[in-house]
Amino acid sequence: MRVWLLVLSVAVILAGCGRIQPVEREQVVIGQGLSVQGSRVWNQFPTGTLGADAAWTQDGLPLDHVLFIAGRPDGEPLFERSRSRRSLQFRSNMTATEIAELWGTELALGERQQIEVGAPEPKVFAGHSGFHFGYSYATEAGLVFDGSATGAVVAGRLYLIAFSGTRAHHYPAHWPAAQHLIRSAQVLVDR
Amino acid sequence: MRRRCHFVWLLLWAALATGCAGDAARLGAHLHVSEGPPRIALMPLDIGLSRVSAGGFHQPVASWTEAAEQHLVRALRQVARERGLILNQAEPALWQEPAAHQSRLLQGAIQQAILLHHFGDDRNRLPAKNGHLGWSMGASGRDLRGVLAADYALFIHLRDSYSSTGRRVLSVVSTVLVGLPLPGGQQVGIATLVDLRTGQVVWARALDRATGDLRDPKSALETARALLKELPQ
Amino acid sequence: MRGLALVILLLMLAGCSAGLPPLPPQTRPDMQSDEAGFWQLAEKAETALRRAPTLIRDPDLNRYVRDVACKVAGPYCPDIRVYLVRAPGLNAGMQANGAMLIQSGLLLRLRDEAQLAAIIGHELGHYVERHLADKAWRARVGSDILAWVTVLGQGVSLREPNAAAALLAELQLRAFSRGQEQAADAFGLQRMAAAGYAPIAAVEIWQSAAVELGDRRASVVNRLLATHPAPAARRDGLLEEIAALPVQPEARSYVRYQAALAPHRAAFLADEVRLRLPTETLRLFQQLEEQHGLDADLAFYRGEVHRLRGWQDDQHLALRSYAEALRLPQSPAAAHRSIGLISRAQGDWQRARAAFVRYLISEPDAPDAAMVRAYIAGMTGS
Repeated sequence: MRVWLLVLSVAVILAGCGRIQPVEREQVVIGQGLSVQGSRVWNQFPTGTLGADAAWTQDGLPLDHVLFIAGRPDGEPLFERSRSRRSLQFRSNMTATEIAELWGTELALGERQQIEVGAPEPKVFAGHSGFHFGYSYATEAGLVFDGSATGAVVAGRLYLIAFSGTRAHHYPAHWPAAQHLIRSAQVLVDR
Repeated sequence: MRRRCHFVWLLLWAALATGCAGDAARLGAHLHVSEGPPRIALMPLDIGLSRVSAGGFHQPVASWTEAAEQHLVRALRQVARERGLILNQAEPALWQEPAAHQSRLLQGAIQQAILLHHFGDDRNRLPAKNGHLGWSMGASGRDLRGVLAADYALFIHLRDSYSSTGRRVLSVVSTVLVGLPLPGGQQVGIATLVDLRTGQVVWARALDRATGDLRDPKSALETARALLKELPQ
Repeated sequence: MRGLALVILLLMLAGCSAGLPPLPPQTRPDMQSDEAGFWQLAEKAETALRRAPTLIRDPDLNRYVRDVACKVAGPYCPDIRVYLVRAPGLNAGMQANGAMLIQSGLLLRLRDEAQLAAIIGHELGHYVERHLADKAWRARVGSDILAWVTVLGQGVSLREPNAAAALLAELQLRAFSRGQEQAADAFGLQRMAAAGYAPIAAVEIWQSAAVELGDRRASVVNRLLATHPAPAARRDGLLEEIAALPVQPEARSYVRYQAALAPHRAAFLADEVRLRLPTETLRLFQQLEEQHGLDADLAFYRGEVHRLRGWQDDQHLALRSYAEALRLPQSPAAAHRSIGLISRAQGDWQRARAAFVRYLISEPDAPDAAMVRAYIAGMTGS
């Protein structure tokens, strides 16, 4: 159950770790130098929600979210909750195939069901040769989500933007806005 | 195994501003139809009634739930009639279609999002929505239009609980000994109205109150009125 | 003193249950009963389950499992529906209303039809003996007593017994749950033996589970907190019950079971690998190899477990598994790709390139062909 993650994140938000903030249509820098610019205003969850470096949404936690992995170094997990498990660490020399596999495991551990991770394809990300792969899963209640992850390993660090939304509406509705974020991505290596 | 879904709803009720009887939001005061009175399809109700034991255990009561479904449908239709609207029950067999089932799950998730991000705690509001009720089920709402032969669809999720005798006795004892009564039964729920031409949620109302009853037709009418308060006409 | 009295009250509860007699075939609980409330919830959940994306819809596999279920259930055949759900791990469950869920991870672990019959018989036991309603009754009465302990304790300033009472109530509920599992085991044995299946198959399931989960000796605390008996205790209980059975039938139906599972087996193996629980999964695969011998899929996925674990020796062990897979009939092309990934990580670009090329030759329409070509292009020099 996918819902576990949802429950946890709802709990985190309710626990008073901060409020949801607007992200205006201007350049913002996330984590270790991932810069993006939105085509519309996004809502940013408090730090730590869903365990990524940043999590944004258009319509809310139960419906859609963009997750940012912004400069994950060798030996660290994609998501904070996986810190204690060595087999979930990102490695600098990983291929897109291995990163997609890691993503599949993270989805499974997030109590998602019926997980499908598509084949990675080469894709330029932030001016670097990177990858793209699609994925899908169902929540415990059975609501189906589609997703897409685009990223690249730059100077040994992983930069990735993943967008998930309900297959019935929110993925197709907000994919253009998510795509705009991905296209605007820049990696600021020499800061 | 597999009973955890309800937990999400519980958390969402906890997140709702406490103490208020209900909260409504809408995009406009009027329903738009090309001709005749607006036709609303009442989606199969998602309701459950339970008895709260002394220790706070929610015992589902099948006979109450079954009766409440009938009472509430009748009451909702009456309230709609009084407002000049046509409210017809959607065929329950509709949910046999996997696509229609996904629409129902989608609307359930939208209701959770509205509870969390619109009616919920201030900190959880979505700033990009600027306080507007801005949710849609898109094409999956529009697809329902042909199937239902209606202009709008009304989705209702409702949980209603009542104190058992044991709970009431313990509450009295607690009041005497500690000065604090125990919380009793609750009526919590959300209703959403979807414009089937656009898929847009045009009206939503959340109920969270310690009153209300669905076990007899007369009380159900009061609940229906509370639920459909400020429904656009 | 009053706190103590309440603790004693809780202790007295230990021997109690709602006292529901076994449910006769084709019977629904009385609409006014508490049990009817659980049935109604289960019926709503079942309606959703029928449309769930996780449901395994293969008509052949479903028909096969349903036939076995009917044989085991006998007069209860019309009362139960079996749902096969795609999810790794050893799990099955029974809803109040006769909707039985069997996870694909469990199907993968079962050796033959007799073991499947044991699972179905066990779950049927929960249904016929109305365990869910009984446990809910216990949980409710326990929480009621606790609430009284708390309120009265506050009033008369007897705080300490509350924590003790809460713990006692919880431990009792878990012990009760373990008792239900044992009762369901005994019921299942009767049913599977009546249907002609070798009852020892039920023991084997728990033996295998004990091996897979490791022989960690459960601490006293863990044993008290468990909702299910430890596999070893379960095995011993079952052996006693088997000795008492009047007949000892012998049917296993190994071939028929494995034939029904065959079209799904590779996908179920992949689901286990994805969880990245390498120690447990390798033990599971070892058992599968001992039971069925090594086939290309099993060898390949064993290699995948090693590759994803990536400990000292794992790259070597993975490569050996892939080589074994490739020597066996119907080996997956992905073994070449995995060899390429490991060789690339080891810096052996020549070998990596060769393996990737072999992957592309044996799978020219692979959806990740462009990506693999990019890996080849990225490794220049030797």
